[in-house]
Amino acid sequence: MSLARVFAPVALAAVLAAGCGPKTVYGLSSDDNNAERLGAALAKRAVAKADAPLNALGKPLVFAAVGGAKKQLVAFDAGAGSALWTVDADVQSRVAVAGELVVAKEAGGVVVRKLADGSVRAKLALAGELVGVTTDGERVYVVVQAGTGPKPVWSLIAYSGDGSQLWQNDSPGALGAPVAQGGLVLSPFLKQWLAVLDARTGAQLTRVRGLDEEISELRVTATAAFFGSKAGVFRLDDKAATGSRAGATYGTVTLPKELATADYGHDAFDPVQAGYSAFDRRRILWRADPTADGPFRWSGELIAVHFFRFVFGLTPAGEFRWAYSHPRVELVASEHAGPVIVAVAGDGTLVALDAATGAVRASAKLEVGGPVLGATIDCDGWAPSDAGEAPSTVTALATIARDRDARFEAIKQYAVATMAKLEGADVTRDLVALVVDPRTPIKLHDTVADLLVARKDPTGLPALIDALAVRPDFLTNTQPVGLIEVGRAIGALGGVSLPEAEQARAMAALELQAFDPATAAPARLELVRALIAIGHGRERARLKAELVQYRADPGFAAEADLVVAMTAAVAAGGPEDREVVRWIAADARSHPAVAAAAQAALQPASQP
Amino acid sequence: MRKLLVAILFGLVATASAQPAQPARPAAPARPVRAKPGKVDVAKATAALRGADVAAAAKAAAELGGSPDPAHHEPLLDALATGVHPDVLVAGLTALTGTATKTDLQAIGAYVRYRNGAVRAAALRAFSKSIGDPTLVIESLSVFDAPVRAAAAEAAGRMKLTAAVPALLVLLDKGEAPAALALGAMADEALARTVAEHLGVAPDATLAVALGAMLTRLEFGPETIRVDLVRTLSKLSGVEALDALEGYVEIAPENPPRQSRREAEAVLKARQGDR
Repeated sequence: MSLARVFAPVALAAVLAAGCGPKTVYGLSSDDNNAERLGAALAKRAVAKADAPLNALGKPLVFAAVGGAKKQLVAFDAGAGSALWTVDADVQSRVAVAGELVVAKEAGGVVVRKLADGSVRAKLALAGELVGVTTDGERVYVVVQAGTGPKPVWSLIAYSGDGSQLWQNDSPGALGAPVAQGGLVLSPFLKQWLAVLDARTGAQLTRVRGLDEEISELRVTATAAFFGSKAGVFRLDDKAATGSRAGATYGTVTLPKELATADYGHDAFDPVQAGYSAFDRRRILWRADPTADGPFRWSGELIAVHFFRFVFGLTPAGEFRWAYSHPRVELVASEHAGPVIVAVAGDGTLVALDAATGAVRASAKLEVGGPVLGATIDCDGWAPSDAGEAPSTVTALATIARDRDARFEAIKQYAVATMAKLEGADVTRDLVALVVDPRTPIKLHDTVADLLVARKDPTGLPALIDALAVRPDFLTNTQPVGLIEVGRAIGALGGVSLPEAEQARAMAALELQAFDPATAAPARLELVRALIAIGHGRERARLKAELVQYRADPGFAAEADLVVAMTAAVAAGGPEDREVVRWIAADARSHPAVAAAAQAALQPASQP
Repeated sequence: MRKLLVAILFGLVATASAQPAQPARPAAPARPVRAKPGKVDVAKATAALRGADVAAAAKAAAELGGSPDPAHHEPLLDALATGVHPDVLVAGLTALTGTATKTDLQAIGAYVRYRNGAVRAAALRAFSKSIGDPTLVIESLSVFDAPVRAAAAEAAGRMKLTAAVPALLVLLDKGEAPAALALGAMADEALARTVAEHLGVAPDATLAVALGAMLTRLEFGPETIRVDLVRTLSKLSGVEALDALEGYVEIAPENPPRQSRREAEAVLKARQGDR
């Protein structure tokens, strides 16, 4: 029997049982932004006192849609680390969860399942394209768009948990996916209004009109409701009736440009986002603390940004705090649950990251037979007992920077720029590792090289010296990499006070590479410049010997910048040094270019 | 001034972190140029060395360095110590290869890591011929300059430097003929078998050079290994294998009869058409 033949009688029976036809409550004119009516509506709303999962079990649950040959819906108890149930289901929308109900579009229509075991409680036929579905645990609310052509109609239809239609509101304009909470249904209309409806009857109680920005994103938790757009978030409280950012409890965060494409929530009007999609992998994860009368307050003064495989902890001003890099596979779903950020990867791995530190406080694996396409995370308030170990931020950022996925170039740029702001030898070591890795993309390589120079971090000198330790070896086909960049970075330390022993080590390493026959001319130039920069005159004896030995060599003379740098450095020394330079300038055997450089170095203007 | 420059360059030799072992040399004095009677006009050569004419200086360097009289080396050593054109360096160092005295070696040693490959190779030849420095030779086998590697391989073979064998085998696999010749020059039975095991790894031509170099050593043996090498050569493609077999047939005595020679002749006869 086809699903259509199953659903059709149910739908018909539902319409008949409703006992009343659809009514139109949406219109361009209404008593918008009425503070009194909004206050009254919110006063009716039943909300929890503390963050908690919306499901009736009160457990932190994850509902994962699994693709592949055998499509399934898995309910996973994150607290217990085990599956609650697994059912065969071709999930085609987000899964909505509240109370005893688990609701999603599956092949053919909307299916209402029992929380306890995943069994089917009701099936609802769809009279159009699904825009969104939600539940408050008592009823199921479905928005569909019917009719194509000049006069499409959007309908918000309420059903009982058993599939009986309770009411239907039609709209000539676009309705977005609704959310429901404590006796209210919040229904966005034409991206401009948020209709607040009585969940029992569908009657409009009041309506908020966005004056400063559109209303396209909604979110409810056990304790609060929010609406907003890509630009920011409004708390649905009495002040929301102002409809303005200034008058309402409104929050927005400043993201680094590399993460700026992340959204606060799902676009309720985008049919693609009615289901799980790539948008779920690029999100701002946030919670807001209740405020009596004050401004919007982000919980813990921190937010997080989920960006495919990575999660970054940031301040609302966009300042970096921590990073998490998930190994190998992408995180397909994520949610800020309060104490932790819960995320599910495509291979079924579940992680709970401490919202303040990024420490992994819990991890588990959903046993799935195929890729996880997306998940609904109902874990609000979940605080795993393990505090976790705060991860090495540098390591996490370095891991991100070294990622081989070409899609993440901007994120890698962000990671290295963030790394470079951190102090410590490890940072320099990781940056050097990126510079000397031939697989590092050119643009990223150049960025890292510039950052290394700009750091001027003396604690990183040992890492730079170590980078010079690789010797050219024809037998093993080994060649030192990144000599130019490392030379520039060491040279940048010229004005920094270095411990004498470190300075001596650095000079020895620089000399070894600079004057190795296998070193290419551009690298030799930077290495010698570094030698001069940190040597403070100690390099002169070696430079003088090199000048004497190579002064007649056309190969050396061709390295014009090197010749100039060396002659100038030696000429800046004492009378004996200048005497050597003078002799090089005058001796017939000196290459003319070298002699000219020596002559120029002796001029007063060239003296440092 | 010259004294100062000599001190500067010898200071480089003494302070550079990876210079070869040096024989003792007294503190560098100024080197008076003493013309001596004989074939070399030292005064003229010295003047040429101090001039801007590179060709003339190179000729003078060759004359002075080639002189068996150590005193004739003095102007050349001064030139080495104060820096001259690479052509002059090559000429002088090459000339010193057969005549260098202990006191010449410090100046020569300053050029074993010179950036110009030809100069470096010449210095390495002169240095290693006069004083075998195993560390320097082995180190020079791994440099990227082919002429330097060739000079080092040649020195390793001449010194029968067994410590260099691992590096030479790598170079053999990379197709370097000088390394093959070095292995051929120093191989005993065990090393010969090791080299033969590189069949299929080293290029046939290079392996043939190595095996041929072994077989053409009159003292190389015993006969069992000669037979094995001939058989290995018979499996190699290319004229180099035939050259090696021919070379062996030429030097191998007819009597007493050798199985290895008979087999080599048989292979040559069978592969006449390969040339």
